[in-house]
Amino acid sequence: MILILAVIAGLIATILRAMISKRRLQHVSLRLEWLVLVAVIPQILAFNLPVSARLIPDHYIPYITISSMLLLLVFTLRNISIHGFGIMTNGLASNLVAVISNGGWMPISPNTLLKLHPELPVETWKIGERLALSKDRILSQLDTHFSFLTDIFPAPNWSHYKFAFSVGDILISSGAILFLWSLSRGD
Amino acid sequence: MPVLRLLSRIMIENSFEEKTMFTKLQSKLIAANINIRIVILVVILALFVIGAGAPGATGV
Repeated sequence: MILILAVIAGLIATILRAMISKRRLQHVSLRLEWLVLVAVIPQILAFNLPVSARLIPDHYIPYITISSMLLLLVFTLRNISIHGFGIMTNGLASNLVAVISNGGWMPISPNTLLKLHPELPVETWKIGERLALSKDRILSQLDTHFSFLTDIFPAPNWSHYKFAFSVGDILISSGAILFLWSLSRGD
Repeated sequence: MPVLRLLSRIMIENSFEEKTMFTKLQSKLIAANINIRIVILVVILALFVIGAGAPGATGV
């Protein structure tokens, strides 16, 4: 949900730009829009709605995550010529590599979790367990493939919402902001 | 029959109110340079970002 903040920030920035320069926001026609709905609904059920997320057994999660992300990759590749989609494709591919190479889960290390919650003992985080109802699984750095693509960046200390994010998440957020910014272009 | 007449009147009034509300919302969005197609575009983008991203929240 934290990535939604990037969309909100991009939207506010592009509306302000349009208002200041007295332009209308331009509509961009995306191809295969419906694919996003098809791909994301299973993820919303598995990760974002606690009621349904608790009902889905953990062994189904890798299938849901990988198939959904592959469909989203088809969507971004089909729209790659549009502003921001190149960066978003790279971000998605980066997350997908991390997930596929680690058995369908996004790894997070106990060290990263310790940075997020220094008040909790390191034993709180058990290797191999799912992190709350997220796409993440706690893995030691030694057992993680492509660790530089995983959730290695902890949220800043002042943030009330404790989360970690990946290089892919940064690229996806940047691409989304760039895309929204392009809607208020003059040409 | 008066009951049916009363029910149909209530339904017509309600749909009129909904229409008015929708028209008001639409005109506000247009005033802010946002049309409904842009709103759909942003919703699609938000859904994409939810699906493509993988931040891990501790829930603690």
